[in-house]
Amino acid sequence: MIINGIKIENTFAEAFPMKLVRLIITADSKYWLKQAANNITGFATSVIACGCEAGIEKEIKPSKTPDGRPGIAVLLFAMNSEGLAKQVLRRVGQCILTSPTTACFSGIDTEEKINLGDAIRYFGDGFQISKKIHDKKIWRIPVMEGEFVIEDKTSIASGIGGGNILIIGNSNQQVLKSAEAAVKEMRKVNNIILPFPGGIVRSGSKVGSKYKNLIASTNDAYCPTLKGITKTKLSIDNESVLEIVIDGTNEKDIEQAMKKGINIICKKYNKGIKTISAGNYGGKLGPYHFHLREIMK
Amino acid sequence: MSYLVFKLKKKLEFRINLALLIPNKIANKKISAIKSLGIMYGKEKKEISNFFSISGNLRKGILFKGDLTKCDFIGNQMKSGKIIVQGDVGDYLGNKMKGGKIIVNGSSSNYTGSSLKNGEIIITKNTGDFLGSSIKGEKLGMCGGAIIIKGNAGNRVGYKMRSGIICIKKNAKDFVGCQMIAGTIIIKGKIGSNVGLLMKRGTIILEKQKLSESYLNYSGKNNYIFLKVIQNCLEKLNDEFKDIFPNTYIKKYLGDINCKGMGEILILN
Repeated sequence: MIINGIKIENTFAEAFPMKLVRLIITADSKYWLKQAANNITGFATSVIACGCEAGIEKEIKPSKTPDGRPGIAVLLFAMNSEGLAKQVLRRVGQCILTSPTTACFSGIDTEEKINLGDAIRYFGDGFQISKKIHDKKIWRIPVMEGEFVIEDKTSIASGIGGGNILIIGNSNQQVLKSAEAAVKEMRKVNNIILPFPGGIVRSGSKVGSKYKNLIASTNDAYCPTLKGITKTKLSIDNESVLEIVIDGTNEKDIEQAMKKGINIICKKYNKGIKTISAGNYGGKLGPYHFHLREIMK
Repeated sequence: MSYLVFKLKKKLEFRINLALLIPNKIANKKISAIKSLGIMYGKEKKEISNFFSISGNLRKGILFKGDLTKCDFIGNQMKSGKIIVQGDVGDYLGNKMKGGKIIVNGSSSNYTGSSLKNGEIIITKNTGDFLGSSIKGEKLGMCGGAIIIKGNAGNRVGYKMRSGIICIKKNAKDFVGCQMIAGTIIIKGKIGSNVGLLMKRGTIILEKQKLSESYLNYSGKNNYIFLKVIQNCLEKLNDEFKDIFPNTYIKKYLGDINCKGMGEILILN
């Protein structure tokens, strides 16, 4: 399949089941909202070493948030519920509790619950106050600024991590420009996050390494500087490859995001781009397969 | 007609207990069986049909009509469904209720919502003493749910209240939140003396009041965002709560200082 001169490889992105939490953060101003959201989703690019993958999902209007202030929804993904619960507790405790004017609420409702305020409340040293209005229970934790308001529990849902596209081109600058445009477009889709810096990863990895302690190492098949010495997947004039990784709450939205990203590259940012590919492990590890050509039909 | 209508036939001389007439207890009963349910009237046991004419079906709930000021325990331990009363009711309305909704288009007497566990009670006029409180032999008052009084309330609102929310649109008399353990009381009108006496925890929210009680400590002004969260939840529950807290930067008193002082009285501007 070729779209506007760009080859869409006959391959698929291989993704994995993950557990996710959606948190709604609110604050008096958009400035402090961004500070808190950027902090809680910071150092959360990959479960390989960060414990979770996290990102900003969307902004929420004041009329749609629990306390009538501007809000941001963030998604946090981990491989299992226990790991996710630990990360949520640490990140909310260190990044949201500490940010001036913020409050934190659950943004998803399922049967499986984990502690949110119910764990953070002990910071209140006995001065914390709970309020239960019908089914919603919140904690008011006294802090030096006033009060930190946080919902008692949050739900855990099943999600998918590892949807991806690879942008292969003949120029570093052109590939980066195309990837930036794709990220901008993909972020318009709800229920997904792009956990890497600016949504883009330059150091895609393969499973394992020649060093026995490493579980992942550089994806040498896509490293343009190793074309002479490895079993490369690049042509001789390919100079750069960038990857966009997508985690989402469901397959449909990940597909939608991939389609939007590829579309904008092929239609408006195709200069210097030769191939769109995707990363997989032969289909043996992850149950979710996003076939590029089927998505672009 | 989709309500099961109980119309009072004549004015009552003695008090009667209507605890039997709740939707979850009579859901599978035929009208003839309901008519023959026995209740005490003075020292005599009589049938429901002696007092009420019954018609309709239970699809939407139960509708009481008439002057029910001598009818106690309406909605007692109700778990689900709806009861509407066209007229005034007696004591212990919604006692230990666990769910559902009671609407009284009139006034209620004492102990309305006593030991309420969940559900919603709305009184369109006034209520008597001990609203949402505990009754004799019970350690805890209201433990959940919501009570809305559109008129005035009597003494000891929320006595020994443990959780839930009481909202009074007009005035309340003395000892509001007395011995309160937790929960939220909102009073939009004036109150009598000794508010929050012996309260351990909980929140009483008042409108433009000057408090001089010696057992309360003034804690200054601050921004209480949780009020907006409560308002948001309550607005979904009932339109009566729309924009109930227009301002969250308000005064706070802590008390009763003789009981650790963990209760709070917030004064809206």
